[in-house]
Amino acid sequence: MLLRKPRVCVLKAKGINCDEETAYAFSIAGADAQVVHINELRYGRVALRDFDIVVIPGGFSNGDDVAAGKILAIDLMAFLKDELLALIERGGLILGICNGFQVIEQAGLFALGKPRERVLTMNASGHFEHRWVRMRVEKTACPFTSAFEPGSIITLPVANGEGKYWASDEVLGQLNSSGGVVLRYVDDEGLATRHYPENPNDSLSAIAGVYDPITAQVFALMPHPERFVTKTQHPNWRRAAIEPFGLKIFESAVKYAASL
Amino acid sequence: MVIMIPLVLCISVFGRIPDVEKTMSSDFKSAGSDIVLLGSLAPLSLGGSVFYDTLGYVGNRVPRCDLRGAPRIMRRLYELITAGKVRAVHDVSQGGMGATLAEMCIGGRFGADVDLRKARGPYSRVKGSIDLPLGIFYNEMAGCYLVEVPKGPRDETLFEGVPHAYIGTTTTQQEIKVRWGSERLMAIDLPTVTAAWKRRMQEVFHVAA
Repeated sequence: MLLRKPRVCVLKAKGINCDEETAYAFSIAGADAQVVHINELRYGRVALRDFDIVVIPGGFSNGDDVAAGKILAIDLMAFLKDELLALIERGGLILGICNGFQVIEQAGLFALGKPRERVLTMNASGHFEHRWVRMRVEKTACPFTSAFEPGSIITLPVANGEGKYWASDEVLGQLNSSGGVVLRYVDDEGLATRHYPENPNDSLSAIAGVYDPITAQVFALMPHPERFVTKTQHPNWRRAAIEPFGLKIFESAVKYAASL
Repeated sequence: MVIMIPLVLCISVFGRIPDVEKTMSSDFKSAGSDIVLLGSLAPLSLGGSVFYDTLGYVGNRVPRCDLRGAPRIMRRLYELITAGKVRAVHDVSQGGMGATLAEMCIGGRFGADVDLRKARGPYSRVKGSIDLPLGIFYNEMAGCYLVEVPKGPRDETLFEGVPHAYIGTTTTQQEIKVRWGSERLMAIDLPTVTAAWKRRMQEVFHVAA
């Protein structure tokens, strides 16, 4: 039983197209989720201070123009930077999914490393990758993955063209040594890999999801957890009992935010 | 990669189902299940079938679907699926029961042992006419289905009032065995069937299936 229902702001902007299912995922995880257009926040009709969690969902914000997530990142930093930083200061959470991950990196919302030293770039395959991938949960001391057993192997769908995690040697080293990598693509043996197709984009250090080890409150991942919150979303649900892994991410976040 | 799709007439039908968990897939779910043929085949009506096409024939007799009986079968099937009484269903369509059986085995990674004699209906095997087992195996009558029923004591009420025949069982052996009574007609291993099934996709689309 939750002490209270955390309030979730699911961000909407031009080209975001996973907001409804992300709000649904949070609502079945026990939160009170609301889809809010960025202009409602910008013009003060809705205030971020009323929320515990902000999600930047997947999609193609601004048509991926310039670079995936770039323009929405500029909007966020120009109009909502103070509110977002205030949210982190009072213990709130920020989640970025797929395009939301690209936005968070472009905006420099992670405290570790400078923007442009870490970015999501074109998949090595040269095309859109959309299928189920296997990952290992590297870290459960994270508000978004506390519901998992350490080292769990999970599966979620990816759907991206610019999903290759790239960072400078220095930032990559910091991320790895500080335990900032939460999810890594793995092969059949459960080992982190850059081998294609197990690693769908040739992501460095097999990175699929990272969090900010300094504040622990910002988490972003390329796969879509909101696409696996009920068992029947998995293509093989009739033959195998596979836990809806995506739901656990939302449940972890809700549990954390409920205690704020 | 650009995949050039050959000209194909494709008709899709969509229906809303209130509970997704009450939908059925075609892959066999376990070994030892009963395989039931629902509906009446017309083994002498092979006109336009893949079987005739393979032999270079057209044929002058096509299957005539029983338009009164078929909806009764469909309704019964729907009831059985909703009640969780059956575990896999596949319609008999292009390629006939043979293709249906193969696809159910490929999907489920189980073999099958079937006796076509049990599906012969009002026909007997007459020398000089079309070989009846082939007619049964490759007839493409609409409104017929292969159904997997979990093993256990046979519930005679399941298919009461609709034409049906218990024709065999699923097996752990990776092989499809076809018999006529005690006479062995055919046995083919599943990897061979699977490779043949995938080959067409590779030939047409030039991609790994």
